[in-house]
Amino acid sequence: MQNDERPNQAVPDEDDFLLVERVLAGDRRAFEPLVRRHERRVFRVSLAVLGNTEDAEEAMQDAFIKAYRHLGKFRRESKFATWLTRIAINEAIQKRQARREFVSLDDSHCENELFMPRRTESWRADPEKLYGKQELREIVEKVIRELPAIYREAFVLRDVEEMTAEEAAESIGITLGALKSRLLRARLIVREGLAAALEEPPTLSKKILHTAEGIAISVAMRLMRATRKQA
Amino acid sequence: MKKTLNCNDVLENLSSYVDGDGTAEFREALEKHIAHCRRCRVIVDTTGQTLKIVTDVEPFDVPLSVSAKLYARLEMVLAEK
Repeated sequence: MQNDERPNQAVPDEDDFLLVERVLAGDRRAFEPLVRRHERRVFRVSLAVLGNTEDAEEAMQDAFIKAYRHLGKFRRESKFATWLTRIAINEAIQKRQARREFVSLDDSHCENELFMPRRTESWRADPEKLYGKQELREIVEKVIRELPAIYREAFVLRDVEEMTAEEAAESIGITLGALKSRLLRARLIVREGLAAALEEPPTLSKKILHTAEGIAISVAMRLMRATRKQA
Repeated sequence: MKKTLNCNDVLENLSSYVDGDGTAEFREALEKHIAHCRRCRVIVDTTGQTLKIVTDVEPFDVPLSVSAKLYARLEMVLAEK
């Protein structure tokens, strides 16, 4: 279930620029649509850096507030989305450092070694036919969450947010070469994780449960949107 | 790019291939390798499939409670003089 008002990848930059101008001209309410348009990306990158929802929630709030207070510094040389993503990543990295969790050496020492795939049997059936979307999403989210931080960042920016490799490297503040090498490893680990999860066939009861959950979430999202519109 | 690729070359250049990048010559060389190497073919195919699934399931939507708290906090900030 997705909010149809938040198509992250298809946000026209011109509309962002207009909204930024309105905020700078004193129309503070124009900041809200900017938040709505980029909420999911900011959440995803915060989560990619920090690895858990609680910390990502706080980092996301701080990133938007920082963007609002420093909006005057935004230059049209880059997309608003790229500028905002950079703020969000910095905010999340600062939080990670504050909780004294450093990127483990285990994560980076093997960066340049080739990851050797272990599961090399072809998949029995198309996972998208075997599982419901919600169930498959949970599997995918679990595999991505378990990636070491430096690979998770690269993967989320490039393959979840579908940024270009150049944009992703710029947002994280690493070279294109480093991004590509982390991304390859991340992709191979995610493939491996997915292959492992797919070895266990989905049960019928799980399928029914997930369909029910999907409907409940969908209803809740509609209610929230309706309430927001009224407010 | 070499005319023939070995299994390591395929692995190292996997991203370019699944992203649809690289010269026609490179893509052809890779395809020639996977036509007779089952292991590499599985890795290339399932990596492509993995990325398609990741896009299709749209992971990590903002939880309702997280979104609500964000708007509540912004409301306060936007109301500041």
